[in-house]
Amino acid sequence: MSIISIIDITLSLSLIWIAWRAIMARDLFKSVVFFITLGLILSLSWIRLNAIDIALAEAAIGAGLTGVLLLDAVDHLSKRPKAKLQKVKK
Amino acid sequence: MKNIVHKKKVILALMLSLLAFFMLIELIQILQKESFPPAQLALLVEENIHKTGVTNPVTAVLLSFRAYDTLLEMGVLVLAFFGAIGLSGGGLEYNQLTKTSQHPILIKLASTLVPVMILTGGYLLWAGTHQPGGAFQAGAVLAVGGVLLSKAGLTDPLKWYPKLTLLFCTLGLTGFLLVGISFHLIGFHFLHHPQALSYVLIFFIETLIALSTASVLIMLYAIGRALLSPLGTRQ
Repeated sequence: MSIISIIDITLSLSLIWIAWRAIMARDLFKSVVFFITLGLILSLSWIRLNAIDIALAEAAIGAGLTGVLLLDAVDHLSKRPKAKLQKVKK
Repeated sequence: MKNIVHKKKVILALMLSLLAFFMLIELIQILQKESFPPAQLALLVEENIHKTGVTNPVTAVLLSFRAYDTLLEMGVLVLAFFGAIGLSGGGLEYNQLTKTSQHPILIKLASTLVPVMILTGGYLLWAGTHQPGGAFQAGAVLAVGGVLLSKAGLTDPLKWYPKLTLLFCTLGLTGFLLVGISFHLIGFHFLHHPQALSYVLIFFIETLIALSTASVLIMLYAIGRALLSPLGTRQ
């Protein structure tokens, strides 16, 4: 088995493992961090498949932009109970 | 009761991931066989690529052989933009009070990275004609730069809403359509153009698409943030 195929197998297995962690994490923030990691590993896998265009798009949109959007959503969700309290006080 | 539901979910997830794993193995086996039809498609692209004026097969397919698909993709982006505006209920306005995180590290990071990102975006756009890269990748990199700027509190994309953002977000679609229709009026087929002008036109349309993609993605982020923050929208 060559080094390249060891790297490929490691990439594929870590993809599945990180996806699993992202779904099963109790903490939403942790989930999002795993999702961003998934995006980065996925873009490495696209490079291994010789699809550099898709790797670039995956790194920028899948890991970068979606990650920011999800982090903002987590931030908003964690603030929500406080907002409700303020409304009750008014 | 909750525990049972959770266990069921775990079993379902396990089964689904097993299924995905076997599908992946199957897919790899199919891809390794030589008589796979897309290989013939790749040959077709290679035979006709000299007619398009560009040498990157991905760009040739996206902007020449399958220009119609790309045109409709730009339509999808514009629709997403208008959808986000619709969700905001028309109450979007730039509010100088929404100074989010003026965090020194974020500001330093943004002011260092954004110029590099603009340069990278421009390079990817230009590189798209002869090597991997292209309009959508360039647009995505530019968009991440814009999001970083607004995250650091250095600027708010809503400052340019609605006039300039409407112009930039629809630029790709309208520019693409205008080029397609104007050559149609001269006598070419719709979305066809003379071979001599091919490179210039593809590069022109790619620039518009990159700007459009970047502004739509930035606006989606900005509108989402305005909706979440109580100061961002008119109540």
